[in-house]
Amino acid sequence: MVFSSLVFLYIFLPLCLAAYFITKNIRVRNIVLLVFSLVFYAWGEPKYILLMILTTAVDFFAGLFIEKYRGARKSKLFLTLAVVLTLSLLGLFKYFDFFASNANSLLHITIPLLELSLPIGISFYTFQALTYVVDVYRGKVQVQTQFYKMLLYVSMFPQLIAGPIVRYSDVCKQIDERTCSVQKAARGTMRFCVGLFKKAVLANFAGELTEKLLGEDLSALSFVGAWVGIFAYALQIYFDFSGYSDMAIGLGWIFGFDFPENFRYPYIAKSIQDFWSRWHMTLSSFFRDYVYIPLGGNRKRWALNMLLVWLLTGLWHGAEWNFVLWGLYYFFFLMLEKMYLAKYLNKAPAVLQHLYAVVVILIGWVFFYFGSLSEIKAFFAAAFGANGFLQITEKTVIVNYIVTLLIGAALCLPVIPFCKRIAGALCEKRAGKLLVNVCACVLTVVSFGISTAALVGSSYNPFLYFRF
Amino acid sequence: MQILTAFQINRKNREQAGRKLSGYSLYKFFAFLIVLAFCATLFTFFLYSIFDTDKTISESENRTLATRPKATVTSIFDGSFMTDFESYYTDTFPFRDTFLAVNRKLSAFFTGTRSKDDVVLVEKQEKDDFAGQDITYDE
Repeated sequence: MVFSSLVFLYIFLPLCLAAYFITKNIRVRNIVLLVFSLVFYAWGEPKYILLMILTTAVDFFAGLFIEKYRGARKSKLFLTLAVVLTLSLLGLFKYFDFFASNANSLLHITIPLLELSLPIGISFYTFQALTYVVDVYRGKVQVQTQFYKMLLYVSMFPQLIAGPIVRYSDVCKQIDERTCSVQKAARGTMRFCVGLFKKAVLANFAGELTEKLLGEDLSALSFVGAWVGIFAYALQIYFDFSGYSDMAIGLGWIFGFDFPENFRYPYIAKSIQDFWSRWHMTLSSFFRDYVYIPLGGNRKRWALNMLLVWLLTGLWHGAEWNFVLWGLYYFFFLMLEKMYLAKYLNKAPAVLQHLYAVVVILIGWVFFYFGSLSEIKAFFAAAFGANGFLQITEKTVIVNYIVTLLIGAALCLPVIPFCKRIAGALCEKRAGKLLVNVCACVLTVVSFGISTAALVGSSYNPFLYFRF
Repeated sequence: MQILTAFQINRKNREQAGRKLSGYSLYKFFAFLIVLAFCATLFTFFLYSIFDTDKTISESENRTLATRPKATVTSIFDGSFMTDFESYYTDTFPFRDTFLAVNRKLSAFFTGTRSKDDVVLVEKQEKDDFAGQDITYDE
């Protein structure tokens, strides 16, 4: 199930909220949340739910053994075993066919492909389960002795299928003790509605524009069409992904959890380094703490460590060559900045810093969007003017979508924190505070209504040959 | 006297800093109102869609709407029940026509689809055609 569906919003969520808040007993609440999370997962992947439980079980039992043999060599053995098993499940379901088909064509052998469909959210929950077992080994968290709590942590539906990647250390205390308040639930509701609006409305329209410009024949794509198209894609992916994180964090607040933030207005970055401290922060900090630093970090072989981390970051996004390229692309720019560019960049005027970052990020999305090298090549040819400056059909499309582009671009800036600051200033006076409260209320309801309309609208499907 | 003033200034600064950090705040009443409005919306539609009678035909779209799928063990395990249920639920959502009208307005705002005004110039094809089918003459 996904958040942006009517079945989730108007069947799953009311039932879940009712069952959750009918009791104050935290044990019962945990079980309610667990059952609903499993249903949530099973709705999209009835069979693969066993895989998720298996992954959780591997790390759960490994945690127990690590604790039992703490200090002894066996402890490390069980950690290794858990990491290898967990990652091989991910490897089998996500990467086997990619490596097998490449090996086949390279070495002229025939390894049979598995042709498994990708289990939803596997990349997220695998990493979450890993943070548990590694942190138990490191002594950062207490071992969990109850399986259902561990399963609740891994499967908790707000963050299950699209992040943020919540570490066990982030929520282990909250599983046993958390506070729900009306204030927190209200903020959670507002956050959820903002996220839903981003996903159901903004990402959707930006996505339509992307398809109209980049989904067509690339040999007819013009200079303006190419750049506007990739810009629209940048909007789509940001609103989609950050909207999903907003919804997860908001739902977390409603249920009394505090999940980590995942996006901090990535497109206002002043460098690529800055971009990665703002984009999908829980992923990059995962790679930092669980891959980069264990490899030796900056102390030894840092260039090699960086290369490995960015190869993996690329591959994490998908088992395709274009994602590998995307990772390497960022590796290149991060190294470039660290070794040469940073000192010039820091002295440059802010406009140039932003321009540099935005252009690099936009070009980066090309590798993300197009699945094959030939398409990437065709796009770059178009982006450098091989097919003319602007086609008339593209012009019509761009003019039609100008509102989407403008509002989208504006909302990439930190508009909400700005409004919050103004609201904070208004709250000094009683009348101002009343106004802010009324506005918050109205905006929440309106955005939720609009998002619902957009979701209903996705089923609008006129059919011409009916009753003929 | 001087010490007292300094102390007062210090306290004032701290208060201001505290206020800046907390940003805006909601009255408990309004926080309650937001939660209530959200839950009321969810539950109203949930209950309404249980008790209303499903439409079977959409006049505006000229098509039959999806019907409630039967839950069987196979259809649940291969996931087709869920997919069918999603399309059934979206097709028969309460006040669907109203929401569709809102969505048209939304779409018009964001994408400006004024299809009647849009004149798209298409280069003239070199081939001759009859009702869209190419014609080739035997010379």
